[in-house]
Amino acid sequence: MDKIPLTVDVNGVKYDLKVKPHWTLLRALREELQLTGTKEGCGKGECGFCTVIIDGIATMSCLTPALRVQGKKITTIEGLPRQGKPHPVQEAFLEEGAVNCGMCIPGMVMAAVAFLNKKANPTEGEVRTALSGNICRCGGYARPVKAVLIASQKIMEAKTNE
Amino acid sequence: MSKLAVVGKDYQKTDAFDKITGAAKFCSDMTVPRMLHAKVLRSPYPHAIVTKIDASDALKLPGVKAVLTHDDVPKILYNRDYHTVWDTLERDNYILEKKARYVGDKIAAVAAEDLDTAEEALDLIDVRYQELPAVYDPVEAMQADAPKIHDEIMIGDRRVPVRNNVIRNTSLEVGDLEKGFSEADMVFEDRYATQRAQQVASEPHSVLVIPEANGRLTVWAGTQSIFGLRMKLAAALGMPESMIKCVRTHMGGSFGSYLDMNIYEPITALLAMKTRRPVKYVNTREEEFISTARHPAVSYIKTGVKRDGTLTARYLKTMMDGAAYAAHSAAASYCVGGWFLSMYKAPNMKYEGCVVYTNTFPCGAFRGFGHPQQNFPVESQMDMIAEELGIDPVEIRLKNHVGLGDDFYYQGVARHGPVCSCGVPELLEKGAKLIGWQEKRLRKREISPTKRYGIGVARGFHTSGAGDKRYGGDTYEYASSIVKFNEDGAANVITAGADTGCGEWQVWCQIAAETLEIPFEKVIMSSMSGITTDEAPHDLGTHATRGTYAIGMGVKAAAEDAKKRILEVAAGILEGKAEDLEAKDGKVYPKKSPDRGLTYAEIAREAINLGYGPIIGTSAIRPSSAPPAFGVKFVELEVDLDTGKVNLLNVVAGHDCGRVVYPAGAECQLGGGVQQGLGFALTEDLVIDEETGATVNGNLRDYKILRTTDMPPVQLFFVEALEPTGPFGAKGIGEAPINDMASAVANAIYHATGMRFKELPITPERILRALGRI
Amino acid sequence: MIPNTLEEAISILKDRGKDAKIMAGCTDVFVDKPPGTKTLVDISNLNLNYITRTEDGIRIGATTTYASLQDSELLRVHGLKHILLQAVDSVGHPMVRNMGTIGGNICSAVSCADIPPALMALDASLVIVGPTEEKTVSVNDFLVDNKKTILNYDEILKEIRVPDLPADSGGSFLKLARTSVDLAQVNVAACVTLGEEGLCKEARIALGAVAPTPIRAKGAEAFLRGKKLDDSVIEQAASIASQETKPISDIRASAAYRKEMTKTLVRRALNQAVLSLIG
Repeated sequence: MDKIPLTVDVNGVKYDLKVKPHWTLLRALREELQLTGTKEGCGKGECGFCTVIIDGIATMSCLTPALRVQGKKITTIEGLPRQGKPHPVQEAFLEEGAVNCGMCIPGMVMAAVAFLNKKANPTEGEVRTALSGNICRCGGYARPVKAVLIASQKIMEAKTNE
Repeated sequence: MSKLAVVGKDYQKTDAFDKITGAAKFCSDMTVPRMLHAKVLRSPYPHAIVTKIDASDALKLPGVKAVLTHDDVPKILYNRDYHTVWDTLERDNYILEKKARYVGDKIAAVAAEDLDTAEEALDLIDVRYQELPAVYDPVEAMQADAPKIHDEIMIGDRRVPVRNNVIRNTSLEVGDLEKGFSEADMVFEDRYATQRAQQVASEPHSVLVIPEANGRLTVWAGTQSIFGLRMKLAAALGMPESMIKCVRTHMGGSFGSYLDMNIYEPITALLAMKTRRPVKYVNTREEEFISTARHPAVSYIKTGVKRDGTLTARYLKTMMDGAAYAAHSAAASYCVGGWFLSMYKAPNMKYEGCVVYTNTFPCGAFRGFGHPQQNFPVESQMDMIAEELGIDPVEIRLKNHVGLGDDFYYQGVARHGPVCSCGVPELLEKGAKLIGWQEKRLRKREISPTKRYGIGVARGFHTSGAGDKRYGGDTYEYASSIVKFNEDGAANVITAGADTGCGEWQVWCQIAAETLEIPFEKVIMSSMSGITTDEAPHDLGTHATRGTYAIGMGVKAAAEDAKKRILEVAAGILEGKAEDLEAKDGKVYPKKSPDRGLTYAEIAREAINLGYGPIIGTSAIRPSSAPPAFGVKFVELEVDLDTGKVNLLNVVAGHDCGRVVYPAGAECQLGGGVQQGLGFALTEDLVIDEETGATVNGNLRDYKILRTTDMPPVQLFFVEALEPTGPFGAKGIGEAPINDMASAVANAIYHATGMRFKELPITPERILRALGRI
Repeated sequence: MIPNTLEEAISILKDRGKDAKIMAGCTDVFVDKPPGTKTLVDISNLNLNYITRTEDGIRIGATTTYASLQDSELLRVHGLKHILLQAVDSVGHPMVRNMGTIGGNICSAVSCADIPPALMALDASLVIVGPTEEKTVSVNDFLVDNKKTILNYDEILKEIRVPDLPADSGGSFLKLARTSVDLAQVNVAACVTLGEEGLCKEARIALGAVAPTPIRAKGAEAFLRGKKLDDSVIEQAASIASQETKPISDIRASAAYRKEMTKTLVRRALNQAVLSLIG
């Protein structure tokens, strides 16, 4: 099978890649771009570890054909910090002691970021639903959920301070 | 104890920043130049002899660099369990087999330039099988006419024939059981069963083996013990241990999945040796599901009681499914005995355990290591006894639990010692208060014609490691660390201990900082990812809930040793005697003139300048105890009698780990154990198809673990019953959080519906069947 | 293959359709990798992602994602969730809903799909485009067998047309599953319309995961017509519906459980349909 050229915009940088037609975006990110922050947990869209943001939408990269993202803007966990400063969601996870083994974290953070970009001041129930596609086996979810609620406060405060 | 400066406080976890940014590299993230990719060819049959295997077509495929079969492997039997001593461990595994004993068994392995080629190559390996009858149930497997799964295995230096597929029989006895039952006013007998559940650690197994020019192997792999892995790999390959260097990596969880060398490390190592190139192997999630699991168990429990609730006799007989290869089976079986004896006091107790081979994928170690399998019958029956005698379930547990001063049977067999710290009364009383036990126990069960409310309790524990006063025994147990100072006063902790995500690195740094009396920020966990068996001292690793207690003990001892050296060097510099000096808060000063002094940094730097040499402390110790860390669970729920669905309303979970070293980490351990325990109670069951021997739901779609939207509100609390032998009074936490959760759920369902479920998981179908609705 | 117009897509399918699979959200087709086919036709660029209001109903493009449907004002009527939205909310989890499409759910033709029962209860119609014609069929005729629709290899589902319910109508969608994110063990959609004297004028009950395809419980519907929808009538209708099922046993549920739960869910869905009428 021959590889096909693909130009992707990942975290604001344009890359020229060659991928096989059956490759997923996940594989392209991890193997061709060495962006291993996005993890593979199941390859079948169940665990959410592979979540990235494409054109503002939280998307599972293990189910996205690599060839499909031509011309789209992809953000991975590596692309979250702005001017070297962690995203409020990342800050909140750190402050709340919500990071255990770290495998579910990048996907969970990206899902949370995409969610908070669209929803201000969510309830706990809404946060739980927003994270229901991200499984975690370590901590029982309480701290990540709290971290997302705190992050939404941080984001609101930042907006009012602007 | 004086006020603690660092232990008991929350700081940012040592690896948190690297993980929140995605920078931390797990083994599955690693690549090295010229790396090949490996895949394993697995048997489609549960029991079959390989009659022919032809890899010539696969080898012709461009990019394929090696294909291995049974003919290529060292004819050395191994057992992947690395915590059981050599002399007692059943060795029954080759690196690749010529007889398949479960669907998925390792028949051949390929290394190729890329993953696609490796996968294509698998299809080109021609394998012919002669199918044999298969057996999936341990009782059936013991029958005279059952298929023979193993003929002969090795234990130590002896060849041992396998009879009736039995791996091990265990018997533990205290007192006189017959006498005990004869003294009872009432006798309770029941049968209980627990299912095959899977750890579902977030990161599937991955291995990277790099062959070095001088014949050594560098092995990156997730493991709970780099020395344990090295030991097993050396044995399986027939190499001296020092020729293998195992490297510690970040790990995406474990829960026991990595308490052994699995089949992947030796296969990958052989491929690396054959090709003389680095080889990487990564499990798919489906392959992960057939790599390890909890041993299914069926238990018969019989208890004699007096009318006042005193226990006169306790008996448990557990039949365990040992799967196709023994692995930890014998240890898990005798541990069930140890746990059983240590749950409640009775002068006469007996445990009989039997674990048997079946044609199912190998079971391994799963959080609790046999504890949930006996906790479910014991805690369910305790409630039945309480009801019959008219005693409150919390009261009967307060009356009978093994507690302070009582005999505690560690991990079974011949070990026991007195309990020196016990938070059980406070756990039960505080938990009861937090959930509102008294009042809710009397609540009307019938909320509506079709909904029932119930509240239940259960308790459990786990040992902190496998220590003992005597040397020897079935399980390795020792701790060793190094603490060394830098010229700027910061200290490095070097340990082989694994952090599976649970925060042990954090705990060890906090213990070191507290002991050295320097700020937490001045302690460095050396090479979280990267420390190897070449430079770390030999420590057993993170398992059996020994990280905080035993490894922590080793870190504390090494820090104390470093502090002693600081004083010696300071004495030299200040031209005095060490006993006239005091080390406090990062400074050393003469007791008689506290204003004269040197900081640790000054001492460490001067030590180099003046030729004293670096300040290093070491330790090599054996914990003399494995103190129980206790837990309790309360749960409220509603049962929908129309659908059988259980709606979890509220969980109160308490734990006594002695001194809580790292509070956020402790809460995550407890909260995570609740999630896993609720799954064990209600939804998790890895089913084997008895027509084909394959798993039916070895994937994340159909093996149901709980998500954010499945979890009830959970309240966590800690009781600090300080352990005199533990570092700053600490005990462990890792496993207890799961051990009693399912029992509490079963007890709550009984309270709600009057139906006693004796098999896990308690699914809606089982509930409706019990109601006669289907 | 990524066509840019419907005509292009159809011409590709005409050529290779026997061996090709259509992909839009990829949450089904791309699960097994490689996807077991030589040709994948990506139809996400055909401008079939829309939700529009017409006089008598709502028109939804086949590649409209579940998330777009959740964000649409058109599926919330007087603060009540449209039955279709109730079904959409139950599908998968947020990322599945961001990516997956309503057309994909229908065309997967799996027995447990959540969208078809809702559309069947709503008496929706589907617009199919082929090489020579565009035709409209009832959703009730679209699913032929497990994983088989009436689509020819060179046809594409283009649009879903959901008619407004007449006045005095109420409906509900319910899904029973093992956990909060799961395929259905049973799903049920019910729509009722009341006529004179408050008697049932029309009833449509669709059942999923209890037969090779989602089905209409025609026996139960006939039973309800002309009757007052009280507890006893609803109970009986639920029983009849249960008898119309042909469920299998699988890892998610046994046939017996599915039969029994059909009864429970139909009863609950009808009760909620009646409640939504009053409210």
